[in-house]
Amino acid sequence: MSLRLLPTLLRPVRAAVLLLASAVLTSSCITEDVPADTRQGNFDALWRTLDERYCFFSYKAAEYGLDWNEVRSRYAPAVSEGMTERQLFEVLADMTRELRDGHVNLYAAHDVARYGAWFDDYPMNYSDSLERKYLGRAEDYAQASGLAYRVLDDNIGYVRCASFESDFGDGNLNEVVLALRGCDGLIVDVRSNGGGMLTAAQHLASLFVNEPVVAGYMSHKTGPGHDDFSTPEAFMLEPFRALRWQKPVAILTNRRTYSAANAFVMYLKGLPGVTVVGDRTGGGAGMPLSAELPCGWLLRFSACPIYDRQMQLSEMGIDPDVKVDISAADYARGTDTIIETARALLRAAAR
Amino acid sequence: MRHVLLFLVACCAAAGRGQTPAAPCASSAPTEHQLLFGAGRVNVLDTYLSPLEYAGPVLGVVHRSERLARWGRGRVTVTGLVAGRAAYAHSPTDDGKAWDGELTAAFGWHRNWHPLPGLRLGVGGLAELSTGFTYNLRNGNNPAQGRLGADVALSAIAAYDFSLRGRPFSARMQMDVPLTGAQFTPNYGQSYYEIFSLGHYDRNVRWTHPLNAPSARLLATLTVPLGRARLSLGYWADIRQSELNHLKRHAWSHQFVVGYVRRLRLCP
Repeated sequence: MSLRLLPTLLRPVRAAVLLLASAVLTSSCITEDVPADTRQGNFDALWRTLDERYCFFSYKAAEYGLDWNEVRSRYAPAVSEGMTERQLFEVLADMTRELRDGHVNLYAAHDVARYGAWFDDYPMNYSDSLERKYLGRAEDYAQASGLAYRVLDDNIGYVRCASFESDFGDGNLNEVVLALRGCDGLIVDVRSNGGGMLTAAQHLASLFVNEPVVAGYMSHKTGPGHDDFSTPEAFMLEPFRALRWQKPVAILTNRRTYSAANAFVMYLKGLPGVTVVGDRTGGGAGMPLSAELPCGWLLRFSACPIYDRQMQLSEMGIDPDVKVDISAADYARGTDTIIETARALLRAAAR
Repeated sequence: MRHVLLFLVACCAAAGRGQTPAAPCASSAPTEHQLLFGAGRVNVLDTYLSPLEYAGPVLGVVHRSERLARWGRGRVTVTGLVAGRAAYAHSPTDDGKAWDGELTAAFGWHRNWHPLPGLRLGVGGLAELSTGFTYNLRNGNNPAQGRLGADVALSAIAAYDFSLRGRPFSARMQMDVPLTGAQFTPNYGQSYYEIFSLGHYDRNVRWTHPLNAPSARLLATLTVPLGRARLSLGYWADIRQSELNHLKRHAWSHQFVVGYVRRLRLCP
């Protein structure tokens, strides 16, 4: 090959190399601008992460006047480089509590920052000692996939669901309904159920519908602005594929009925034959996601709002149909006022 | 690590022996296979999971094949590449840990020129498919990020065969830059529960180009004779980046690679 032809031959190669080089050079490294691991840097990182990703700013501004910029101005003077880690944690924990959200947590090695006024300011309305009186000894009740159940002496079925941390097996749910099918009514006790998996809550709720119904609506943030949200999309509650409950049901709630348990109540409240008895639920209608601060602390925050079928947020709780507190006298007598109220309602409905 | 590399070198030397002799079917063009094992470091960022960059050791494997196309009058080569890597990375303070993995398959053609004896320059295109994940061990509802993408990449090859003391050596460099494609991504604050349990999709497949997904792969090797085998040593950089739906991601992987080259002929 003649060397005189070399420039001609290399022309397309040169063009390709130039294109490659320009593609590489015009695009830069994609990195995230993270504040330094200083006291101020961690304060900034926490404030900014929530500012961009937390989903209830506008809702809470309307509910109780939350102003996240004002919160920053108020807490910023409390941060100095001379403070200890624990002091910084206290400041950041207090700042997260301004959101009044049980799904906002800051996890450090020595503590978990959490907001608890949604249950601490109200009666407990649940006692595991009273629960033992109704369920009896271990051999008196059955347990399937985390559900404890038995038939009470007035032929009312009682199911205690303490958590939605793991899903239920179809076979387990079928067996529970089969065992209680002769009862006149059913109590599903989700008091002090702090939530878990939404899919588990939907699975249990599916026992009480015979056709698909709109369970609620869900959306998510589409950008860092406080009002950058997708259009809420409906999601359905599908009927359970095996035995389903066809008689009246009472759902027992208290202020610690939270997150997925709150969603369970939201799915069923208002449906025919369903009565919610007890106290207002704790709320928690935002699916939480996680992020980290430069110092390594984990931050959890509500990210995806869930609306009921009327497009209302239940972030601050759901009111029961029948409001009942356990009275001091009933505590002393060993009687659970909420269970007794539900039993009376179900017996009346059966007559 | 030194023993692992020595072991790999020994294995590669053994595997690279005994190339198929050319004589019985000299008319058919040989296919060059290169298998490389890599070890290095990776730096991973995925703001869907954490704003912090995770870093750690990475292990990888690349298989590359190249042969003359049946068309193109001997100027066009067909290239195939399959690469995988897995990494265990940790956050700057070591509080967070994550597994990261990526699998890429690419196939394409190069138009080649031989401007000087022994020197080959090639330019072409690749169609690439890639999938991967990052699994953060401490997150709750957003523990993992899945990746799936397809793109068309511009690819350039420079290869130089030369002799030293009568022994054949070969230096080769290939660079691939994705030009356009499509990639799966959740939306900014969207949960996987919405996507996979509820079937709520929202801009989950995005068009990619060098401005929102500037990525590149560089594979540079020197193949040296070792007994009857041909041992390859080199460097593999895999730079994958994207900024889609306000979510930033990068995985910068740099690996030292060792392996072997075999030339095989398919005889009728």
